[in-house]
Amino acid sequence: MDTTRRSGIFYGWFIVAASFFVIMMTMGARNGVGVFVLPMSDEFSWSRSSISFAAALGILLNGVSQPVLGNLYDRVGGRKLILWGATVIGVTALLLAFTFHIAYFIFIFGIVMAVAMSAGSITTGAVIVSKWFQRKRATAIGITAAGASVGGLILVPFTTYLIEILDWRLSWAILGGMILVLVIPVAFFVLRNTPQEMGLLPDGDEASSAGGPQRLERPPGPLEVDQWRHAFRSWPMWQLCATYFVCGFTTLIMAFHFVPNAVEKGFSPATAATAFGLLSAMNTIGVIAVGPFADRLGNKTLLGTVYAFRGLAYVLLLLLPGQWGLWVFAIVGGASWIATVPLTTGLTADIYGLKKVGTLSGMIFLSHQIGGSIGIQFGGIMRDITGNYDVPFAASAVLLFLAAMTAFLIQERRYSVRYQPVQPSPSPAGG
Amino acid sequence: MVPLHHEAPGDPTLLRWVQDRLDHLIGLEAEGVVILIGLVLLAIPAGILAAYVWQRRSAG
Repeated sequence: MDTTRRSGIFYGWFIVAASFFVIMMTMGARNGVGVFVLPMSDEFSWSRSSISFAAALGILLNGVSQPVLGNLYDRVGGRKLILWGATVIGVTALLLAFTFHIAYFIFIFGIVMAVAMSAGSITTGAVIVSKWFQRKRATAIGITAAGASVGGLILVPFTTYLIEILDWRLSWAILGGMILVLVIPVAFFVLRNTPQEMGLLPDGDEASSAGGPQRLERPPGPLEVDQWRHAFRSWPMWQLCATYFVCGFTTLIMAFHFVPNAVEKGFSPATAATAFGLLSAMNTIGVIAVGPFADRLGNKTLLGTVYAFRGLAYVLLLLLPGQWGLWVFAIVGGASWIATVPLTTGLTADIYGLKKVGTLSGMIFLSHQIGGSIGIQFGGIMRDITGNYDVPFAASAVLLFLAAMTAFLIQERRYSVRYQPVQPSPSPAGG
Repeated sequence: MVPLHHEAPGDPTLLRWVQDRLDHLIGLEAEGVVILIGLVLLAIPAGILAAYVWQRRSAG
């Protein structure tokens, strides 16, 4: 390409760092609700199912609200939306310090915070980053998405010890205060919606110097849309929704049933928890590692491979004897856990363009959450009927191999902007 | 319930295990761990903002 590079650090990497931190704090704080379960239940004599209801409602609302907020993203820009989301998440965390009734908790945590999470989620962060990168899009989104894993790994122990030293009310207040004091300045000063706002080009490229020839750039892909609904007239959108549905089904079923399954098979809770801890750690490695490969080999190849590996992990969990299945699943399945995020968002942006990528990513995320809700229920129902998790786990494996095939069938070379032939463009950077 | 895939809260059993492991590994009192992690949490945004200011000044 007839483009040059600016010296210094490309500003897109600042966007990655800021988005990483936003996701780390917001998702870390929200995922840490588990450590509040016991002290809050003890104080108010709540049943576990009451808190589970708030969590389940949150999952549902988070999915339903994502397309709406994605649409808002496309209208007002990611910076405003993320700032708004982080503010509401911080304020709701503060408000949880004043919890006095389960209805209050359900309203604040299960409704208000859940909707705000759609503004400060992996999806939103991935979308804003996707606008700053084209060639290194999967790498950049992968690093950003790793914020969710790192947030869990750092903030959950932090909150646990905080509750031990203080109490759960002060801990909520501190978490909320940290989001307001630490996240909002970073988002406010650093985040920018697009490189064009700063006179830059994606990936840090720069138009040729004065007097040089026209800059060469890729034309829009054949499926680039101005209206989000137009995307549903083509196969890739359905393929991405279908594969992300399976992603949600096969991760949330395990999120809720991994430890019970292991304990029922005779492993100690500590062993089950250790295996799941390993799985969680593998998230970070998998999501960061997949990006550079996807940028070289193409997103759909990696996406299909990730689903196939997760399917293999389920097969091995069912077939391997003793603890082997558990550990192999933790390593192989864990590496695939969030690796689908940069690949799916990257494909969406590459195929349908950046104008409606917020809405489209929200739609695809909704299918993920629907799949997850069905997976959780299916796992529980089949466990009650058959007495074990073999059927739901086998079904997960089958779905994952189908998802892998579906991903491999995406015609990325035909539709993705990355594979369009470069053409001279009269427009310089800016605008 | 376990954490780390989009929108799912953490499992109390797992989180208790994480705390036990950290107790064993780090060997610090709870206050020490909170201060340590708190400093990390402060350092990340401070580092991002410092780099941002440095970049702005370098750009003139």
